[in-house]
Amino acid sequence: MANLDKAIDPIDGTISIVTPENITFRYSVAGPFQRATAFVIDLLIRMGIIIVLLVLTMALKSGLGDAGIGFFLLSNFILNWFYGAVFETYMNGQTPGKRLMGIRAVTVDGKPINAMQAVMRNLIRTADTYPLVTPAVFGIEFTDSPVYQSAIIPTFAMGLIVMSMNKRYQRIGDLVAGTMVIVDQRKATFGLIDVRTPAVLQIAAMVPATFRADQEMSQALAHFVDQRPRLSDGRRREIAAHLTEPLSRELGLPPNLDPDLLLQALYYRAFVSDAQEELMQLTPTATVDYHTASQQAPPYIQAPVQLQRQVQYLSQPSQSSGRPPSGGLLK
Amino acid sequence: MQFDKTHIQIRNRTESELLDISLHVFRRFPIPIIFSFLVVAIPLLFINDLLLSHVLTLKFNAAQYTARSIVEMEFTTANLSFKTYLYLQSVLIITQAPIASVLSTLMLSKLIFNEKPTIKGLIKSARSCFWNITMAFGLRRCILIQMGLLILLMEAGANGRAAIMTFYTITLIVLLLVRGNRPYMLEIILLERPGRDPTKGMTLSQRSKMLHTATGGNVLGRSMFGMLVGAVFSLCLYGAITFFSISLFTESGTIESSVFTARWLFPISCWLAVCYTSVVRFMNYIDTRILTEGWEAELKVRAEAYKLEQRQQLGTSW
Repeated sequence: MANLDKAIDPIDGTISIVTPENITFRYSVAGPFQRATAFVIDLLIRMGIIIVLLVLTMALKSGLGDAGIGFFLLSNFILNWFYGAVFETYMNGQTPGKRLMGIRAVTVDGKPINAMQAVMRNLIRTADTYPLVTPAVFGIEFTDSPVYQSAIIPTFAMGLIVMSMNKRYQRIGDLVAGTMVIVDQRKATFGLIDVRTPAVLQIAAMVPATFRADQEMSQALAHFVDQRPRLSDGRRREIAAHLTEPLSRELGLPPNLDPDLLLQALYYRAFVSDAQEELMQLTPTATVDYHTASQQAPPYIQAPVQLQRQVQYLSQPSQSSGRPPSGGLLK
Repeated sequence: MQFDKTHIQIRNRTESELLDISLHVFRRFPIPIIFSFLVVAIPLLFINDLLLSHVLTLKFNAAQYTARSIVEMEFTTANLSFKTYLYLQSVLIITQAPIASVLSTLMLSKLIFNEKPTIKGLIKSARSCFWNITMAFGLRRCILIQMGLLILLMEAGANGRAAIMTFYTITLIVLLLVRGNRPYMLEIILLERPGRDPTKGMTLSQRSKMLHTATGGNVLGRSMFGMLVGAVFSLCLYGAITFFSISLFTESGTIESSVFTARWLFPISCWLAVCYTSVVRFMNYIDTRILTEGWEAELKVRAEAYKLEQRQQLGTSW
């Protein structure tokens, strides 16, 4: 494990920003492919608005005459050049596409961008699309249609190369404006998983009442229990075995406990029994036999009374009529 | 694999995150990845040219082609069947992509886990998998079949040519289905070294089935998405490379397709895209293993065990 200490800055698409108060924030930076989807969504929105404007211009052509065409061209210009700038200024670094994709433009210090930065980064967007090529490059034959003759295809090579060359995945506009695009904070969420088997409950009852998992231990237990359905029995034990020895020593448990069951039992204690304990205090307890766990339990187990009552309730939820279904929290 | 000692943060990622991270990996190790890739890709580029360059001089598309472009006049000495050539070349590159990335995949596997490999060592390592690679890719994934068809195409008449082209297309469809469902076959062969005797451990097909079915339809979706990204990426590269090479190195400067762009710039762009997609495929493979083998959970559990042991050594209680 000493290797963890001298591990080389691992690639994770994240950057750290240290504030003057010496607090470090880690941001997950959005790369070109995460940003491309937001770009396409914004492009579709812009195209939709342009089509609506075009239809309106055609409909009002008789009334407005050339002024209608002028209005359309002006609207088109404003939409193409200021769509991103306006939204990013008023939506705290987000356009509708960015909001849908959960990404946001911020300054390289992690602060919200201002109007000038929003305008700068969007005005230079066109540079990312270069070089522009004609369909003839791809062997598409020209027709005499003027639309076809004037068609250009953006290759986005410039944007991709520039973004690939820096750690923050900044495109040219970002470099000029001093901005970057980050992924909005996503919290890892695990639904509670039902681990209640007689063997797990039996081991859970052996864990001292003083056991309290800190945040990192809770995360490790949650990760393990979340991933264990995909793992083979051998692999589950192999992973869990790393913790068995120090945990058994720490908690005064027999050293030969099944590692997989032990981690499940700790998960149960860390996540489920506390929640159930609160529930128990609010509702009367039904009388349920505890024979399954107690018959198999070794004689030295002296589980606290309160814990036994929890086990009774959790091991036979179907008999506890009149209570909120315990499955509400469990998947 | 010692995944507490990697250049990649071990955690489960989305497809777009993997594409971005692959760019990052490429940026960190550009020379070893490109060099190890080119060792295989350059010979394939010339072999493919030998097999396909005759298509550009075939007469069967003569009626469709008229020398309109100045650049084409600069480079063309015979009748051009541009689209046929592009199709055959693209399919061949798609088929050969996994074997072209044999060394770069091995290189990545070493680099990611903090080793310093040499090309000689990688070739030696790849040679020990020769039989599995030949069977899995040469035959089951049609590389040798397609190359054989292209040799036949050289001498075929009009009818034979149509039949060959049809069969060639069928092999592409089969290939896409097979590879779509089993995209990490190369990585399994190279990195997991399965044996052929089922009594001595898991065979290639057993390992492949275990890895590819563990995440359900996710593998097929990712594989298809990766191919799509590779196709778009190669077209973008082709456009950009053509733009720069023609505007810098020709007198006319007219940016249009020609025999030169088709014969050299197009395959070069495709191979560069394959180089990138090989990194993406490797990252996808790692991600699948993180998921199916619980690497992320193991890393967290081991970190907690280490902390607990340290605390016990210091005599501090929970």
